[in-house]
Amino acid sequence: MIRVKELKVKICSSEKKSIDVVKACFNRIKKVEPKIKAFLKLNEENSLKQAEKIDNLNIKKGLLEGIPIGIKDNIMVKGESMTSASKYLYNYISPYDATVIEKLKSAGAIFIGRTNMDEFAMGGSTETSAYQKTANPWNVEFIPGGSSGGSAAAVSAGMVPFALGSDTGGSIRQPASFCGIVGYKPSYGLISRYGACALASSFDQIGTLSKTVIDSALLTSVIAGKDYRDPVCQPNDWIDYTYDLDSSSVCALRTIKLGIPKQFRDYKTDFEIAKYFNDAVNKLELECSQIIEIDVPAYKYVPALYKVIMCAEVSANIATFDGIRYGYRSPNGKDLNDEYAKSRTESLGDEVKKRILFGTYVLEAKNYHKYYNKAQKVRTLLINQLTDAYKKCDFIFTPATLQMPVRFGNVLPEECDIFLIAANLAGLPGITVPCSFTSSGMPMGVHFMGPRFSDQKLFKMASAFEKISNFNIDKYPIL
Amino acid sequence: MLKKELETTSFLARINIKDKEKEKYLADINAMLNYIKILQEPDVKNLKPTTHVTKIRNVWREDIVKPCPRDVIRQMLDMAPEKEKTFYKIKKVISTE
Amino acid sequence: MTNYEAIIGLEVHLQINTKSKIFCECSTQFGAEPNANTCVICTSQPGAIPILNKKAVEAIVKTGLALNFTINKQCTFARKQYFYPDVAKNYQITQSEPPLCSKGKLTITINKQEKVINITRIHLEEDAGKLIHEIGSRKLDYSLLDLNRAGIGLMELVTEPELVSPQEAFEFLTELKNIVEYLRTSECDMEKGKMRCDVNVSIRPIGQKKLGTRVEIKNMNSISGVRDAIAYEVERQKKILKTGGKILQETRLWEADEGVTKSMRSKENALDYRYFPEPDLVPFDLSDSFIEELQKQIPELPKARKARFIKDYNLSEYDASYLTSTKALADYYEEALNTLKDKKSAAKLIVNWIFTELNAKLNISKTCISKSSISSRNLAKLVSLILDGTISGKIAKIVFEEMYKNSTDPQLIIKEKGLLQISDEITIIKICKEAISENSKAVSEFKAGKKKALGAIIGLVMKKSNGQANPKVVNEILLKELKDN
Repeated sequence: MIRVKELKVKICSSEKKSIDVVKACFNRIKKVEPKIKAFLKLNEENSLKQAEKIDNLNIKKGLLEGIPIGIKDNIMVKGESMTSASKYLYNYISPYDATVIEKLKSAGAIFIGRTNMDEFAMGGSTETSAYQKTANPWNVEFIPGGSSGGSAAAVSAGMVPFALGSDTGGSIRQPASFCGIVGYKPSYGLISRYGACALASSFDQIGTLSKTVIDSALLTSVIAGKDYRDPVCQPNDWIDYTYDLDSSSVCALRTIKLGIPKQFRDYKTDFEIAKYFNDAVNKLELECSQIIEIDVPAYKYVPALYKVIMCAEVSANIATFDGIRYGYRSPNGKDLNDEYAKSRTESLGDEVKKRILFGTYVLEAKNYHKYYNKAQKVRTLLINQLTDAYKKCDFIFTPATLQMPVRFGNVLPEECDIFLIAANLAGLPGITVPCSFTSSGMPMGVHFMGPRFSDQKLFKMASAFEKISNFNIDKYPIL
Repeated sequence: MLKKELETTSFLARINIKDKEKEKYLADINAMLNYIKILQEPDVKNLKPTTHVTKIRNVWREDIVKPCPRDVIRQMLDMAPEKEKTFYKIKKVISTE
Repeated sequence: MTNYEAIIGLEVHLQINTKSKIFCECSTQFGAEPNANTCVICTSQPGAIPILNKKAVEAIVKTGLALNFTINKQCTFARKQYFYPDVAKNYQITQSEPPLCSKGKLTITINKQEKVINITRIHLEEDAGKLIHEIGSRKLDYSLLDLNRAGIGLMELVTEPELVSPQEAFEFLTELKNIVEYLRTSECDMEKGKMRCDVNVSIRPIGQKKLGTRVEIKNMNSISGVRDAIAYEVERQKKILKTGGKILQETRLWEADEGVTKSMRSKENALDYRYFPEPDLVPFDLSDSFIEELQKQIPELPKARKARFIKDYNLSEYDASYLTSTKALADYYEEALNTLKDKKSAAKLIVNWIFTELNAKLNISKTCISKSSISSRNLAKLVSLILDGTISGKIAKIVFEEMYKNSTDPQLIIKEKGLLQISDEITIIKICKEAISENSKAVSEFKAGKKKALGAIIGLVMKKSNGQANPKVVNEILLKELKDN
């Protein structure tokens, strides 16, 4: 398995040709994509053209010169389709570039295709996509997770070295761990949201999915940073997140304090996940990391909190899809209001409708204080408890998910992603790293969550763990 | 949530629900409402709601005009389900102006 | 026979005077081609995020300070949700509690009495787009949407229901417009919709505590329109109550050309705006220095200027309040005055010329004084020519006519038309001698002690000099001459 960073060095020194890398990707895609269905759209022709152009440059200075990447279908690329896997946007063409896309373009990255997702990123299985189901490369009967399931499956199946996703409630990290790759959600405000189709504005963050931690760090170095187009985006100077992620970082484990929430015990956890998580804990202790127990009682409110606030913001964000200026307009509307309703009802999926209705309800004048405002206060409680916890430890360490991926059509329990969602509620950075394969032959992962803007340290932690875990990242699913 | 409330809510949200679907939606939403009851449990009356996790304040730009490129404006209009000249064409609106 | 009193509250929307919109960088230019001033943000394309215009915040804080508001340093934006095509996001970004400015006041003068009107709040929000329902006379069976106006910054100002007459509403809006024009925070042009006013009117029997049913009136496009609409509405409501009817709470539209309000059967059933804090925009935490800086930028306001006019130019209360009733007038007056060295003596004279001659002309041609064909500088020159005796008041009127026609410099006119006043003795003695010899009757009468007779001789002298002889000099010389011979 070759790291993107090495790949890039080889391409820049013309030791390797970008066009060969791109061709390799499409060969793999032709072989496995029919089984996986990770992509909603592929740009083979343009990608090859672009690769050729880059190969002919005599100076290649971009950080990702000639490197192929997959883009989740809710991120705007000027002139390309952007459906967010919804029927409503079936014919939508992005009129502009997202900030992260601008940065990737100037870094020389090549956009291989648009990856599948849950409709408007609402879901944890990629099954709510209006267009296709994506399979888990490790077992095509199983869900890849979601909402960034297309990105996760594409990377895990080796169709593309890494991909962009978006994470509102675990939507990068959960599918990443279901597919046995690295998934990273930055601190809220580290990466510009401009040009990412909004789900819940106060949780949404664009993030990375890759085979290795250093690849995610490299990608983050390219797309992170200040952007006046996103008011919540931190005005930080450029950071090289790959800096010092080499072997030496294992020693870093000696000074690390990891907190395991005792609430972890309150939940029914897949016994193999529990087992391999304990192995991981032991490995870390052997490296002399300090493992302590922390108490965050508010964890039990996380799924409820998330439901209320996310749905409330969804109800407002999705309101703009009304059939007036773009997207699907029902031919059956009698008057304006009827046309609004029919356009939306005929083009939005059930999960989306359910969330809109629930979100609308909790914001109605008579419910606002009972539900929405109450949830925002409990959110404060959670944040306070997490802040206290970080006085005792550097990172909060848990399994990525409490359950293994399920077969299509089966639902996961509400609490499955509880430790991932907490990061979104508090705006904290979180990264999932593959831990080991279970007897089912499916991967399971662990999750490190740090204080706000500890992202650089978080990468060091994850990369150190990556090195001591015996998860073989060079192993690809047989397809 | 009562059937009556579901009807009001679905009008506010401009989502139509067929009569035969209503029971299903009511069941789902009431299950969700039941699930979030737990939020009434903790005492948070002295806590401020968290509307923004960021500590940044007063983010603003100078008053400078940067017109949107003509081709982008054209493309946006071309995506309109219906247009007339450079207007978005829509169903008759009962004037309130 | 019960007597009723009216209770009136105003809701004023002022378009904030900025070059770019409040949440995107589109131009606010009025009258551009439909949707030419739109972008991915104000058309609400997926992934677009609002970016706040600092000038809009400064404008509302400045306005708040000028009207003695409390500035809430910590507040946030909110989303107000309702489906309507002119609001692209189907929610309007506005403010819930608290607004940027709470509890202000404005003093109006109503039949020589000062009355303080309390203003509940001013908050920031974004304007909506325009819907077109007819092209010229052709009524459309569909509607057209133009989002050029969508996202222009608005200040919404809401008064307490403390106004009791159409005239008070008129005075309030006039004074508000006057002050805001000094602040330059809005152009206040009602015809162009840059200032809009909705009115809440209710009436109740005098002495009753409980308020009557409130009726909202919209669609007035001039301040006098607001006054007329209220007058009509109050009468309408009185008629209903006097005939035992019931007033229903509704929104009515003012039809200016018919001079009536008509019910607007808006089916606003189940309106629930579902406000919640706007997550895309970070909250405010305004520093004292930020506010102090804006306080410094507040110019002299009408009241202060009036006081200064009275003090520095010893104008009468009446003259001063007339001059400061609009910024344009006060500016014209002071520009004129500032070109003169001896202000005190010219001050009153300039007022008179503006009041009588200039106003008469401007009223006929319906032009604003700022567009007057006689520049303030030229009017000042004319006045100084009178003061230094170059021309007589009588000649000045002739010169003025000429100035108004061709907006020429008075000095030129006097030169060309040879209207200079004659003051040199030799010339005047000559004319006087003629006059005396030609009017022996008056002379003998004068000598016989009939002082009045002098007038006739002066008249003759003026006639001979086409009114250019300096009356003062003529008088002296005649008396001397008559004594001598």
